[in-house]
Amino acid sequence: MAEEKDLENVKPDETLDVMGETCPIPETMAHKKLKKMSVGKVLEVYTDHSAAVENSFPSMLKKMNYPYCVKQTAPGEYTIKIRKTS
Amino acid sequence: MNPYFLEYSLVGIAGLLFGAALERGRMCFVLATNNIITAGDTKILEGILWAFGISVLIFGAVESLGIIPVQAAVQGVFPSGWYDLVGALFFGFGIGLCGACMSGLIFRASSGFTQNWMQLFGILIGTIFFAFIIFPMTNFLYWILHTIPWLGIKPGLSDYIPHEWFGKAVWGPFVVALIFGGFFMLFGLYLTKRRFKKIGEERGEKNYKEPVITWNMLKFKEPYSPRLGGLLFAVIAIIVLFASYYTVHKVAYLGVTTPYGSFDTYLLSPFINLYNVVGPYKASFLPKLSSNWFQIVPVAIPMTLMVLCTFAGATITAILGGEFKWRVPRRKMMFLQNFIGGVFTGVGARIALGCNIGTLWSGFLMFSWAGVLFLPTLVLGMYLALKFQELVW
Amino acid sequence: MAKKKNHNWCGILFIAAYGVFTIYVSRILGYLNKGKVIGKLSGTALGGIKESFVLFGIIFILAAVILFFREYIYKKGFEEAVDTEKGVAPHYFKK
Repeated sequence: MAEEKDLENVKPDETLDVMGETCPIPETMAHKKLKKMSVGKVLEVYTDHSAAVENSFPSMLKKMNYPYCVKQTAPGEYTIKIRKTS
Repeated sequence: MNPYFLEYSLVGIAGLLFGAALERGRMCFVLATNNIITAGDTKILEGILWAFGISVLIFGAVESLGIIPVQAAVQGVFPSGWYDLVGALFFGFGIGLCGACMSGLIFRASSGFTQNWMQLFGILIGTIFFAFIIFPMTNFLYWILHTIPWLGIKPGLSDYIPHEWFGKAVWGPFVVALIFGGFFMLFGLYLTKRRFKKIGEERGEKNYKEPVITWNMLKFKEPYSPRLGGLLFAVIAIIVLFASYYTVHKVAYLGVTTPYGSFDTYLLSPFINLYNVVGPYKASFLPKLSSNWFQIVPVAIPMTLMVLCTFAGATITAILGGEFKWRVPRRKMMFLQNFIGGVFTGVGARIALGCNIGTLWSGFLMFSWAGVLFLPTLVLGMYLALKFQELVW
Repeated sequence: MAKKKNHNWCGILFIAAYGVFTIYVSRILGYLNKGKVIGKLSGTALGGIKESFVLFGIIFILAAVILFFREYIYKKGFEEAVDTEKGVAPHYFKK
């Protein structure tokens, strides 16, 4: 699933703060959290690991087929919103 | 001009480039492995394969054409043995825990990840721990020299794959380079093609392609494609090879761990006279080699300057690219995890006599078995670390 | 959202610190050579190595100064554009 712009204004149901942590922690923890959540909920991830935003998250979410959107909130800080669809 | 000055300066410039390639290209073995395991994404692996493939092919051609005589290239051949397997397992587990390999550590630390500074500290401590506890207590050097002869250090040229396979044939190095480098290169190209095809199908574009280099990359607006990073890696290896051949050292290898050991020496030597503690002991084993306390290479190697330059280069590009940020992990446990991972990394790198740059990449460049032996347990270690973290966090 | 933070001064300090450390190493080399830890380096070798370390130390410090100027003087008249599309590097444009 490609990036979805509507997600930007959706209020997240769950948040995950992995600031300052490098791979594989952000992906692993997001994956675990998504597994526990029920379908239709939105997860918000805060991260400042640019490699995760550029590579790991997009390809992981593509594989899981969840829509997501990335927003840069400050230099080097990102918020990723993911909707669990299945 | 003073040849030493020339060599060190050229290697320093290579180091600045190396830092840029690392930081901009996101060249990290752990990142590549994790992306493959968790997401099936091969983007960074492609860059690493390009780096290995191109540099191995060029090294083979240079040695076969006689531009640099085999005799000179062979002096830097890495001895290989069981310790590569054992060390790589520790090393892989350590870097997996920290989420950054020896080269990834440099660009992470330079873009402000405090947990990777902790890892670096762990490596320094681990190196000292190895040098003063493990090395003398286990009689490590004895075991390296006297166990499993088919994997132990062989004197002279016998660990040079072209000579093992083809005798002294002139074309030997090139054929071996074609086998190893060609495999890396073809595998890299195949993965790129497969990835483009997959993305193209998803987006409905027939000829989807990502450029290797664009203006935006050079203007620091975009990170480099990992393949460009790989290309830069090859360029750096060649600069180092020629710089050291035509000046002083005559042999060229790239190393990152040994300089960390040197940093220990530089930082502590004003306070402790360590030569008196370890020197005579090691000297009894290695009467002919001038040794630092951690390894069988001298402290004053050009790589020390190269690593300093790599740190500086990566920090500069991080600032120019707007990536630099002081990043403190929210969970303070991460500091402990990274410290332990760093100790593992340091000890593992010392056991294997090198890291993923110094043994894995340079091992392939020098056509030694060290690279081949380092790879499987490295991947196993990283995989175990990933599973361990999935279990714990 | 949280206030924008610019930590570039920290990176600039780091580069300067690398420069200082590099120069420090060049001083230490002579000391180590006396203690025979390096091995027996000749005078030319030690001189050349020291010179190159000092050279790069100065380069790092200069780079830090240039980045400092870029950060605090050159960029004054520019405003940061937050690029949400790519979400990678901040770009700057004239006000």
